[in-house]
Amino acid sequence: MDQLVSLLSQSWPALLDGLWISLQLLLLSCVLGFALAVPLAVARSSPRRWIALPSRLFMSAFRGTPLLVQIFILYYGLAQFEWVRDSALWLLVGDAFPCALLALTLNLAAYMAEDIRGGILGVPAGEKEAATAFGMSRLMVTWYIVVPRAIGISAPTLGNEIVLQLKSTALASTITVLDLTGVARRLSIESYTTDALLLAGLLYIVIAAVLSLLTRYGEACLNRHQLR
Amino acid sequence: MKKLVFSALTALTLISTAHAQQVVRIGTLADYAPFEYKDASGKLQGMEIEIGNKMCASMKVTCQWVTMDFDALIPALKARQIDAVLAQMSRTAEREKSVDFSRIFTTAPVHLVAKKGSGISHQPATLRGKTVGVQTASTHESYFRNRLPTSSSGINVKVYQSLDSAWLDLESGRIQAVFADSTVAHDWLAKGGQQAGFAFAGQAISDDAIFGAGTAIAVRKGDSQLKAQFDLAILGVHQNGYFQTVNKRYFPFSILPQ
Repeated sequence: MDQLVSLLSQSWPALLDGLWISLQLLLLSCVLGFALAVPLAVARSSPRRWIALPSRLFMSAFRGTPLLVQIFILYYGLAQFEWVRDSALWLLVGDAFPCALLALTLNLAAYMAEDIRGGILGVPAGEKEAATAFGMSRLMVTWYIVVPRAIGISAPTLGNEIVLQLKSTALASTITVLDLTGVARRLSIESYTTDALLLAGLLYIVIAAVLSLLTRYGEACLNRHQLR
Repeated sequence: MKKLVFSALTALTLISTAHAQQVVRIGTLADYAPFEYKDASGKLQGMEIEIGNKMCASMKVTCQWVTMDFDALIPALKARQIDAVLAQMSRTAEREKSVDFSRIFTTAPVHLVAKKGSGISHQPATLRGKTVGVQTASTHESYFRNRLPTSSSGINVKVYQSLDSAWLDLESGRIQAVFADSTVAHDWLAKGGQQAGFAFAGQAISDDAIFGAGTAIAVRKGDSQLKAQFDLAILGVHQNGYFQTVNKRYFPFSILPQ
């Protein structure tokens, strides 16, 4: 315990820097991933195959391969092609942080899209019929009725994805990003002990607890019309 | 069938008791050519594996090679998952606080590698504003952290889990130099780095306090018996010429400690 305290007093600036990078990865990838997931889910639910198919392929590619493999392909794989290094894509994958953010975002988008698709299927037919009866067009029914309801229905699963995503951000450390895990590894290497990793674990637990509180609050807001 | 299995088992027990040798688990790397690396078939190869096996034979022990990341070696040694480390680990005062070392096994001069004509040399000023790649937990990383911290030197350092990844990033241009032992650097240059336009940058960098006198075999603190066995075995291969013979097959220069 004394060891932990002295470690904390010496290394908290480094750990705080790492924590900040982890939170940036988490927040940005969740916002961007969600923004991408909604159109993906809508496209995936379309009865028209040429709309549904690309979205379906994207989702099975990113849900079917390990995130670590995706990160390595984006970071080391793409860097081997000269045309990638000369293109605008290099702005995204040339540096470790944006590259990790890209992989985390695409991966999360695929999972969230699947969750929202489940929500879309769960929207009661009566609500859609009622909207149509009011004279809404199909586009309006989709964006004003189906999507908001689907997000409400899938909110508990979406909240869970956010907590899972927190732990996925640790994989960024494998491509030299100094996130919380990366910093903790550095510190534990310098001291040849696992104390710093233990400390990082505690910080992750605290963030995860805060996240689940926030997501539960978010769920309640989204589904407030169902509260009795 | 049952009988057959039973007799096979008895036979196995007999064989293993007949050769009841001390087992020494040696921690090493899987990606540090040409000292230790896995070939295409997954077999562990390299100069230290060859000489290591020879030393184990002379020590009359059974050696088991265990591969892991460099930063995991000392923690694994302390946690008794392995008994020794043979992985080009430099004998430094810093590490001697945690483990004991054998006598010096190889020398390991250190060098920067960069693109030819990039202007980068051993002078720190030539690296200002550039990014250098190093292997995690290595003496090279420690050199930049202690002697040339980013805040005062203006040199960015990227720390890689394995040196192989650092070479990849050097080729793609994410980093402008790699700081490593000249031995492994020579191997990488010879295997294609040179052809891609890379070369040693400037002179070898010396700093005994950080890089130590050379590499040695690490054992757990207080494991004086194993240390003595390795000392004797190292002296053996150094003196009977075996080390030099293998050395010649791997490098055009000698890494025998003086």
